[in-house]
Amino acid sequence: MTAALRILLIAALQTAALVYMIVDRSSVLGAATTITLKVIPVDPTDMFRGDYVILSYDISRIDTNVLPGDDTYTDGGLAYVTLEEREGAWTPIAVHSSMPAEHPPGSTVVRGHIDSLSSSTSGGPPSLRLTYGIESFFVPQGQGKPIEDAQRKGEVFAKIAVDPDGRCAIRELIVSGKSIPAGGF
Amino acid sequence: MRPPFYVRQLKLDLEEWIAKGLVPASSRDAILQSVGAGSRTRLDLIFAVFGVILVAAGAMSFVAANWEAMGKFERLVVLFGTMWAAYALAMYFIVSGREVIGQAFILLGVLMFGANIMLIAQTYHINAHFPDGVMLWALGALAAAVIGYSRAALAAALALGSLWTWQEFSYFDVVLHIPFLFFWAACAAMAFIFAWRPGVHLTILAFLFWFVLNTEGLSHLFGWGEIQTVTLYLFVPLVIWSLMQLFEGRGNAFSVTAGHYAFFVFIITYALLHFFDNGNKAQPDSSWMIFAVASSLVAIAAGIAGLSRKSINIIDVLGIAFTCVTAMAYVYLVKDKDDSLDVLYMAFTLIVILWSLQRGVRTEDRFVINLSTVLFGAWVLYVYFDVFLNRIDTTVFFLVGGVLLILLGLGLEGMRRRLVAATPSASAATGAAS
Repeated sequence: MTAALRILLIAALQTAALVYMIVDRSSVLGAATTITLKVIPVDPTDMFRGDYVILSYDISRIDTNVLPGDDTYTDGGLAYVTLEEREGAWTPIAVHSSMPAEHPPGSTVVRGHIDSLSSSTSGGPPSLRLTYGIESFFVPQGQGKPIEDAQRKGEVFAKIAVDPDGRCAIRELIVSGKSIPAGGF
Repeated sequence: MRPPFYVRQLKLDLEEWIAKGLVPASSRDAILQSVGAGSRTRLDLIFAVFGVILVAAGAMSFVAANWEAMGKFERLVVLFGTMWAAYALAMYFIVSGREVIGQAFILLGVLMFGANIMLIAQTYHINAHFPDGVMLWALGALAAAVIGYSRAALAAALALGSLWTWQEFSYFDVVLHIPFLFFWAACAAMAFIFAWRPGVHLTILAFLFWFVLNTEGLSHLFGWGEIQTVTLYLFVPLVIWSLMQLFEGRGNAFSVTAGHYAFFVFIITYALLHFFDNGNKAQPDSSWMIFAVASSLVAIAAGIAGLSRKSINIIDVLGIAFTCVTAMAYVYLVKDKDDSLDVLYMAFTLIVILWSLQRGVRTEDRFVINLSTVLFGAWVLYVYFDVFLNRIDTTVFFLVGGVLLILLGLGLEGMRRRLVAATPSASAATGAAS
């Protein structure tokens, strides 16, 4: 193989990897299901790291003790949370360690990665700290402050695209009624 | 490619042999070329690589600052355009015979690939398990090293691979990061194929870095106590060093460098072993016994095999056996917070240091001579502190200690110089130089 062909191959391989990343995320964003989650305030001192906002949600912590579903989970594994819209808010109604075969009509299932798992003192089902890949939102330099203020007032919502596998991606952020699209290509 | 010290020595020897008429002057360049003397570090390569890093840093900072203001099409052009431009320039320079600058542009392409991963992650607000992004970047760099025969890309791959395993360990509490070993093995194979000395150093340092990060994980995996886990740093490098002796005679860059690192790690670990104990464990685990005995047998067998290759002699085989047996016996006998064996173990340590010194002089290996000299000095000081700290008046202790330190400094440096000068090739070099 000539030197030119070899370099062409490197560029093609690396381009393929980048295109895969874009297509993968685009497929999640292209999913038909969209849910709206209220963003809850986090410790303001931890809020900014560089130029992105850290987002936390009610579904970031799930107490398996009070929800129907499975009781056994692995630290670092996956959890599937079934959400249903109740009075305008998407609320957890069940949690499973694998994708549930069926869920109530109108509900949707989101897939979370178990960041930490704390067992209850009685030895019952654990409480899960979950991340869904929607916990950061990059903002233009210096534009994070209004979001932080709105977040404290409870005026920030995230519109989340959910694909059939339960993978999530931020579609847009609603800050005090104003939409900030998530971007993409 | 032979070690730099060998090439330096050969140059001096050649001058002497040519002067004596033993070697025709016309053969000088061919001989030096055959041992890789022409592949010295090139200033143009260093400047090109630094230039590329500066360009990449500038481009990344510009793009990051203006990313939000760009339209979708502009973003796509920036993402793929910069990377393809770097590879197009690499192709142009390599095809036109300017390999060095071409390699620098391959490195720029690898850096732009990483920047693109970060920018795509930023565009889609991806933050879940961010070491995966670094892993992808490292794999891209490795692909560039393999396909483009690029040393710079290999160095980048090793640095990025180390960053990946560190992030897994630090941010995600991964206690035993096995996937890195597969990546590392591929990098090590490339460093071996390139016979590239800095690449060999980076490969070994990356492995040591992983080993240190994963010590706790290995301890959990095997269920071993503290001292048993520490012996991983003794038996594994001892086996590696013994095996490297079988290849060292061929002057392979990998075996010489790996042998030095392994020797350094195992002898330091042996000296420090008595700072650890078995904790609450009454006896070492049977799995550890199997590991220790098997490692010892492999090391001794490699030593015996080396006898026929003359890279090793009977004293070395006895040294290996002594090191293995005494380390195993110490681990087997020592109890929790037990210092009753310290004096005996210190005597054993001195024997191992003297073996190392003898080997350094015999094989004319300055690295081993210097290491042994430093270890001997440290051993004397440790013994002084350990024996006399609480037994004599504080003033006398510090006065005598100070004098001892000065005498050691003067004496050991003199001894080291005499030992280095006493090696036959060094004497020849002095003669040639004069």
